[in-house]
Amino acid sequence: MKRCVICKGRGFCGRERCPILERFYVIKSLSIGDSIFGATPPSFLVGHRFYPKVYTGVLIPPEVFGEGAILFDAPDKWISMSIQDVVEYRSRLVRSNIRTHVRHVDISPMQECALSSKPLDTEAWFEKPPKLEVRFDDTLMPVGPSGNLKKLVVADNPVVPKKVDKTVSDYDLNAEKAVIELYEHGIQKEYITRLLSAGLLGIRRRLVPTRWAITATEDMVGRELIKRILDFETIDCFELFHGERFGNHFEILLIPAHYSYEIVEIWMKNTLWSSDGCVIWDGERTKPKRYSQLGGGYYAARISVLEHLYNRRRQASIFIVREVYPSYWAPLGSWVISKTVDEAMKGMPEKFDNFEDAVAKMETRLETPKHKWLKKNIIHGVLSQRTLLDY
Amino acid sequence: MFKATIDAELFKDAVDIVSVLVDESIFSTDEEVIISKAVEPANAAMVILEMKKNAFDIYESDSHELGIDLKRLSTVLDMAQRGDMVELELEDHKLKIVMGGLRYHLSLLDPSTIRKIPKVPQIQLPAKVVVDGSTIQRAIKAASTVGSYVALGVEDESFYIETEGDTDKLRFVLGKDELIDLQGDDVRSLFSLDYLRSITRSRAFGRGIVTLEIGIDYPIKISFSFADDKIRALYIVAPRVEAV
Repeated sequence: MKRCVICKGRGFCGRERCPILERFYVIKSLSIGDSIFGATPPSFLVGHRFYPKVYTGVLIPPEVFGEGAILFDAPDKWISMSIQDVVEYRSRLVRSNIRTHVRHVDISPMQECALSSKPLDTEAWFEKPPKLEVRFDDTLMPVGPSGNLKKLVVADNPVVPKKVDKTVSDYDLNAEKAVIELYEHGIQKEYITRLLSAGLLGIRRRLVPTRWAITATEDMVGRELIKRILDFETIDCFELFHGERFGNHFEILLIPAHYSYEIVEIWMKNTLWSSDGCVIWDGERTKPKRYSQLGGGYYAARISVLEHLYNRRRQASIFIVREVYPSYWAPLGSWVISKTVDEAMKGMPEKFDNFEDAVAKMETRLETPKHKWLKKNIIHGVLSQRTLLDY
Repeated sequence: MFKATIDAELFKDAVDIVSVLVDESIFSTDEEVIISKAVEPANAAMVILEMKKNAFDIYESDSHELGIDLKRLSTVLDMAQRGDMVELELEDHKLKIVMGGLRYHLSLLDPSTIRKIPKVPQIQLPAKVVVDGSTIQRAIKAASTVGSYVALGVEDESFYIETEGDTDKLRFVLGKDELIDLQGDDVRSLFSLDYLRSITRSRAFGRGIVTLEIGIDYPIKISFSFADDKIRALYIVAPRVEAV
C-alpha cells in the first residue's frame, strides 16, 4: 500500500490506468456535440503520457463566457469551496486535444490561449463528440471530457502583460532565469507554469507536460528563494501555524535555526491512496536533491512557506506535518497543498520557547501520535547542530 | 595586476578544497599569498585555503578580491591534462585561464554578492591527532553507511570514530602506535556526517597526513598541507550536541 502512496497514480505498478483513480471515472450528464463555443479561462494542458508525443489541448467550458470562465481555473477561489464544487467545475471543462511531439512547439492558436492573462472566446470542432469523463491526478487539477480536435478558432486577441510579452520573445534567456524574472515581476505562478508548459520560455523550447511544469516552476522559484533567505537572520522563537482544507490538515513549525525543510505526509486509514494508513516523509538541507518521493506536494508546500519567510526577510528551519483524512475523497491537484499552506501562513502563529512545547501543541491537533511522525529526522540534526557563530 | 602560473593538477587540488564546501568563494590575493575563506550556508563549517607564492612557478600580484564561481572554474580545470601548466591572469575584470592551448575568460562574481565570512573562531583544543588522510577518509565513508552523525574522540591513548544508526553501530579505533602522533586529554565531540563526508572527499585529503584537533562538545579543526607545505587547508566544523 505504501507504493500507492508514493506513486499517486503515476503508473508505477505497470497498469495502464490506476485502479484507485478509476473509481472516479464517473460523470455527470453533460451533452456535448461535435463543436463547442466558450471562453477558455485560459486553461492549457500538456499530458505526460506517451512522452515525447503528448496530447496537448486547450480547456473550454461550453457556453460560458467572459469573467465567468475564470472560476473554471481558479485555485484561489476554489479554496473556500467543497471538493464536489471543484469537481463539478472541472467536469464541465472540455479538453480539445491534438497529439504532437514536444519539440514541435508551433501550435498556434493554442499557444495564444496559453499566453493570455484573460479569458478568450474560442470555438472548437471535434472529430467526434468528446468522451464524458473526469480524470484525476495528485498534481494536476481534475480534467473533464476530452475529444480529438479538428479545428480551433480563437475569436479574441490574447491579453498579454508587457513583461510576459518581453520574456516570451527573448530566445536567449534560459527557462530558469525566465521563470524567476517573471516571478519577481509579480506574475502568478499558475500563469508562469502555463507559459513554461506551452513551450513559450527558454532557449531550446519544447512543450512541458503540465504536471512537470508545475513542479519545475515551484522548484526553480523555491531554490531561488532558498538562496536568498540563507542570508537573512533567523527567527527568534518556535512559531507554529496550522490550517485545514478538503480533509488536509497541516501543522507548520518554523524553527529558529538555519534553513532546512522537512515534511511528513500521513495518510490516515481508508484514505485515497491507502486503506490501512501510511506515513512517508522527505526533507532537505541547503543542497538541491533528486525529485522527492512525495511528488509535487513536497514542492507545493515548500514554496508557500518560503514565500512567507522571504516576505518577512527571515530564515528558519521548516517542519511540516500533513495529515490527510478520508474526507479528501478525490485528488484535486497540488494546488490544494500550496493554497492551504498559504492560507495557514497568513494566520497568527502560536509562539513557543522550546521544541517540546511546540510539538505537544501539534500533537493536540493531530490524530496520529507523535512517535509516528517524530522520528530520527532532519530536524533533530537541526536542533542539535551548533554553528561557528556560537564560538 | 594578477598573474600566476601553476601546475594544473596542483591548482585543481587547491580549488577542490574550497569547492567541496561552497559553490562560490572570494580568492584574496596579495604579493605573497592567495587566501580563500568560505563558510557553508548553515554557518556550521568553514574552510581556509592558503596558497603561498612559491607554490606557483610565476607569481606577481597586487591586492585583489576575486569572486570565483567554483563550479565553473572546476569545469574549466577539468579540461586540463596531466602535466599541463595553467596561466592565470586578471584581464578586464575577468580571469583569463590559459592551459594547453585553451584560452578561457571566466567572468568574476561581484565579491559583495558572496556570503560574508563570520569571524574565524579563535579556539584552543585540548587534543591533537595526526594520522593518514586516507585512513580517515575510509572511516568516514564507512560511518556514513551507518548513521547521519559521528563521534570523534580520544580515549585511553587511542583515537576513535564511532556512529550509531537506526539499527547498526560502527566503531573504528586506532591505537597510539598506529597514529603518527597523539597528544592531549580524553575528548569527544559529535559531528554531522554531511560536513565530514564533503571535507574528506576532497582530492588532496586522502593523499597526505592530516591533523585533527578535537575538544569536548567543541568544534573540530582539520588541517593538512601539500606541495611541500606551500598549500595549506584548514577546516573548522561546529559540533552537534545531543539534545532531543
